[in-house]
Amino acid sequence: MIMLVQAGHAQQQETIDPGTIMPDDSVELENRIRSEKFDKILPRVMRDNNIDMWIHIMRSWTPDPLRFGLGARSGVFIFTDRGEGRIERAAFGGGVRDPKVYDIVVEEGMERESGGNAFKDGIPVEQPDTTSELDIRFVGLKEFVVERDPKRIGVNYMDDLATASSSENASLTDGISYKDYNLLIEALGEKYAQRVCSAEHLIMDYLAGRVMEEIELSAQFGVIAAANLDREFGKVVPGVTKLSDLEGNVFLRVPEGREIHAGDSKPYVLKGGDLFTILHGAGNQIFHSDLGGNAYILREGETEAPPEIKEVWKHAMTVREILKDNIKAGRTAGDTLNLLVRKIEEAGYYYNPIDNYDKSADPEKTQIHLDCHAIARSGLVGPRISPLGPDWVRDMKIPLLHTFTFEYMVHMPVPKWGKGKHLYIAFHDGAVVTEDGVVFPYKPDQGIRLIK
Amino acid sequence: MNKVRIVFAFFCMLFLVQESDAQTRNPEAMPGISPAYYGMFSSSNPYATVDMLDHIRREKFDLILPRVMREHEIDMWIHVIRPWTWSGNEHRRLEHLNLNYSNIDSTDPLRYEFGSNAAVLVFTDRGGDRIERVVYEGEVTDAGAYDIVNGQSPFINQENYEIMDYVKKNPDKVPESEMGYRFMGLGEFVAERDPKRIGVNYAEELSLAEGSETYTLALTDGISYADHLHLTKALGDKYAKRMVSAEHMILDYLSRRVISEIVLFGISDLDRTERGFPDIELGVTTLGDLRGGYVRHADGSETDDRDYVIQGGDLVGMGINYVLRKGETGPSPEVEKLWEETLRVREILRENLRVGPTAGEMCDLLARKLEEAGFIYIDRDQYDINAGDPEKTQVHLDMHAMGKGVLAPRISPMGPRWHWDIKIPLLHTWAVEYMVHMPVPEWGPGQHLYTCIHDDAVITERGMEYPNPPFNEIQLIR
Repeated sequence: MIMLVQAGHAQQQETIDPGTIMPDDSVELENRIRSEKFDKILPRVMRDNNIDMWIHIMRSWTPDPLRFGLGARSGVFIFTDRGEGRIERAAFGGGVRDPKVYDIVVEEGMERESGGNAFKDGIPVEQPDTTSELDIRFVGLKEFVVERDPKRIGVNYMDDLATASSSENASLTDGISYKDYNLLIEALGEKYAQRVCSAEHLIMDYLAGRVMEEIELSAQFGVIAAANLDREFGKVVPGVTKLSDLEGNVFLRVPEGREIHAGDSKPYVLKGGDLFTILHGAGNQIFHSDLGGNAYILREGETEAPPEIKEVWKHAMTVREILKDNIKAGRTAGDTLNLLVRKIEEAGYYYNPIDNYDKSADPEKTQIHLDCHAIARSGLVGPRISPLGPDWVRDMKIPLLHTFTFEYMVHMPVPKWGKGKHLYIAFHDGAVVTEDGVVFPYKPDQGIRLIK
Repeated sequence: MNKVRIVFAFFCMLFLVQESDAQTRNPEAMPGISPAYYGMFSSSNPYATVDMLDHIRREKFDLILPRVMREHEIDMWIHVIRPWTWSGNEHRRLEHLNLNYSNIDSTDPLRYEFGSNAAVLVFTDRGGDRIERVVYEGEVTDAGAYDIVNGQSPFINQENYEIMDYVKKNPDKVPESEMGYRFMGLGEFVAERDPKRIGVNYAEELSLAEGSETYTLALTDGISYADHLHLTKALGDKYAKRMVSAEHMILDYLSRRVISEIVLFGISDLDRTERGFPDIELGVTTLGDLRGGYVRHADGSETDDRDYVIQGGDLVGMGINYVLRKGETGPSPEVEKLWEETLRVREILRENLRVGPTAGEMCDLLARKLEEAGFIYIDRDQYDINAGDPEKTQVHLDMHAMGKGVLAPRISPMGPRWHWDIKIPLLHTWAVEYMVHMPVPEWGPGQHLYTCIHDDAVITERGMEYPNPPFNEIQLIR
């Protein structure tokens, strides 16, 4: 049986079938999002980065972060700011999923990785009259570029950003290969080659940009994530259920601070007095939403949460308000982090840059750790209000409609248990930055669940 | 909470289906290997055990590596595999083909050879019989195959607290970006070994080894521009100037076989050679009921529609699988003649295939021999009504490498031309793939019978040998 500490009501118990809320035609939705981003995000990020032509080379053997955004797995894509309200969009490649979003689609020419294939669509492929496929990679590129005479050409290679480090895994790549770079430079000729620069910042900004359709998906998947959490917490039988029986990212921290995780080799059976956390999520190829929840297992004889459990929730809600009040569009993530740290400290908390209880800090103060990272389809790409990750994710400005996890951790000392002993809860709510500030497209954690 | 675990959980959710599928099928085999690339090492191959795969890897290190490095005058080989070459995207792209692509992993062509999806590997010829093998950074599945394994850098993703500790302790040595961490210390490592020529995995003059109908890949472009830039910085001017493309050496390393590969290659396809078809009901049974395949009609048109209803007189799939017409008890005379023609071609191949010539030279030779034997050689797998004598059988060749993708050498008019320039090495494993288009003039102009043969073969000092049974008879479908 589950109740909530200081919460209105429990979330729905039944699992919601994703199919019931997903549009039947997800391709149509994907195309709409792509089109909206071309219309609303692309002009802004190109102009913000002072790039009037963006050449993006995508090869099938590299998991390019813009496969979804450009609607292709390979090809050469050229976006040109020709001074009108919109950006000209050209795709050179045969596999564009949604040709309608492009002004120019050329299926033959530059995008010829299939050279050498015996068959394509069951038809024998005419073999190029060249000794090497490399000779035909950028056929016609120079003429195209010269005609548009760009001043600054962004190309997808890395220059000063770290690569995958905005996420714990792979979200960005190095960009084009050494060979592609050299071929491109040769193809452009000296005049235009000198105008080439890395498009890395533009790419980051484009990936971080959101449109309303994505926010709606965020809300839809957030509801599913909430249902998933309810389902998992509902499985718990004290003294029987192991952490590893529960789906999601499941963990608890003992009062000394050691973390016990569902993935540990030694199974841990949940028991009265445990305070534990589950992070869950839901999503598809377009968007992913996360949600976290915390639960306390009542000891025998307990009918309500003990005071310290109520107190840690109270602190968590104070911090939630601080975050809500101070995360705004237009500020960099780093500036926001500094501001939040100050506000958190002004509110009497100890800001901890590491998610481990700091025994050297004031033993009376509750410690707060922050990691408000982006969330969407492409991992953690975007501004990150956090001490983690490379500096450049903190240098990014928070854009309007920034979707992020409202992730923070509360380490509350419980002096009566002994020095350094504390309670720990974690939050992983979904949030969006709007003109009116932070809003939650789906309900954030509603309270510490009580399990009998 | 543990950040690594969070992401692990996230990716587990994303790729749960493909992972679980691969693991339940054969937990022993190395993930990331699929028939599209490496048929013999497929996770669906029960003989491709971890022990066997490790053995092959070590044999290649011992027997092939010193040879290819010395032939290419490369005394240090730096091979960079980055974790983001893995994504599962290939799986998602190819899954509709109903093939075993479920565990496609890194796109690096050497991920199996080195047993890694993310690493910086350095091989140094320090004299003697063997090459020093170092995992400079990264993790490998078979650490025992290496002399030094440094493991994954704690700084590889700037996500760990280790990097925060490092920055605190070494404020003067903090790279400007994560890129600077990639090759940290590599300059000193290289200087200590003082190589004269350093092979690095970037492309220079070879096109991609696409020559595959599956549009997968065997070679890639290699390292990124950014990686090249940072590697150059890490090596310093003196050693950066010694960098050369390792592409030819990589190709040779991939193409050459040790005997344990031949063993695995031969045994891997035994399932396939257990041929045979269930009984069918004419006018009812479909291609789908026969687990797919195709039928090529007398006019040259082909269907692979799973709903196609099998007709008497059809030839189904590779080999000669003849569907008996009502009342027939054996193959028609035309089909028997097709089989005879098929065997004649096989003999020509057996008589002429040998170690030494380039694939292109061999293709020319075979074309000439086929013509001398009364066939018409065609460079497309389509009956050519204008090819000349309408009585003559037309033959097309596409004898590509097998076991590690459609790699060079390729005895075929298809694929990149450099595939044809590669000499046929000893123990070359390949597909004896040829297509026979036999005209049947009494059916009308251009009407013909067609078969495609696709047997496994190995080149030995004696010539062409079959490591498992080739197509040996007409299969009747009743």
